[in-house]
Amino acid sequence: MNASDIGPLDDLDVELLHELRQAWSVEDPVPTGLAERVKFAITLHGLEAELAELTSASLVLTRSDAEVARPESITFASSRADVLVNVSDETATTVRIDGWVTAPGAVVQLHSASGDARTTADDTGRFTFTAVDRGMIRFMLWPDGDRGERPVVTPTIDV
Amino acid sequence: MSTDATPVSLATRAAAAFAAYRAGHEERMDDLVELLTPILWHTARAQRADAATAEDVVQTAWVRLVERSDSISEPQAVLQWLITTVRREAWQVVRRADRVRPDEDVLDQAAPDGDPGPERSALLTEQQRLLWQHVEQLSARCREILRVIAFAERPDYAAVASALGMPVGSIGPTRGRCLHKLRTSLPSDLRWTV
Repeated sequence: MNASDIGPLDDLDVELLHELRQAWSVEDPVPTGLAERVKFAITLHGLEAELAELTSASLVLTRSDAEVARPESITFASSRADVLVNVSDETATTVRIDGWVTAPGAVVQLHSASGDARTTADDTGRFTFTAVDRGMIRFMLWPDGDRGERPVVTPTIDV
Repeated sequence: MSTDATPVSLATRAAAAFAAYRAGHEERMDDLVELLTPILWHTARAQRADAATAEDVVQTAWVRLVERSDSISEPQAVLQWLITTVRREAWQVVRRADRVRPDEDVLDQAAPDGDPGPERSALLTEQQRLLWQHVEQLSARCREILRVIAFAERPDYAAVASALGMPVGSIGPTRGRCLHKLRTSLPSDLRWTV
């Protein structure tokens, strides 16, 4: 079969491909939030952040909606600090987060869809966030309390 | 959907965002990510990568692009670079996972992609459902090519086909073997509105 048998690309070909784009978009849609996660990965790369590991055995790193876990208590490990987080119901739409980090005085930043919040762990390593909107969140922390150092970032969790 | 509108090349829009990013407008990387993530997702999935693998592969390709942005001499090539990177990585991961050798015997077997669920198929128009059935009869290689090309615009077909390892000129200006097969398989009474 050579090119002359096949013929030039015409408008019907383009129309078929447009129909196929619609069909594939329905059959296998791009996961919600993938572009946002890509942008975040690029940002982390720019910060040279260390990605903490989720150490709670029953939980998985959230990649797509189907794999989201709803933790109540969760631990993360990194080379410079470990973090334990407890999530409790506050209102129908918000939660309270009580955390403990092995680095007292660490700066802890909470990223959520509704924005960022930042606090400093006390001299026993405890920190609290209240009125946190339910949804996908992640933490970025600076174990030495110096935001000029390389941050540690946790995987995303759903609360 | 309309073929009347002049299609704007994906590669050209990507090149504009990428060139601006490299010139110091870091926020333009977000535009590039929004623009190209759909075609990259379908590139990975067309290699039979599962959803988690496809996400990893797409994210990894973007991080590599940022790491090596200076090594891409021509911004117009960024679309091809990303498709090639995603496809190669997805292919390697999938091959490691199931040890399938990528020879033509395997790739030319018609096999379902495995993911479409009946509840989603119900959202397709009658025309799309019929078209889908015919696409499923094509080889895996043809399904891959049509799937990725479908997420590009007409001026991009040749560059995308090339990134997928097809000979230059196989799709655009000519129809190419895969579209030809699809066209000849469609019933002649199908009323396609062009």
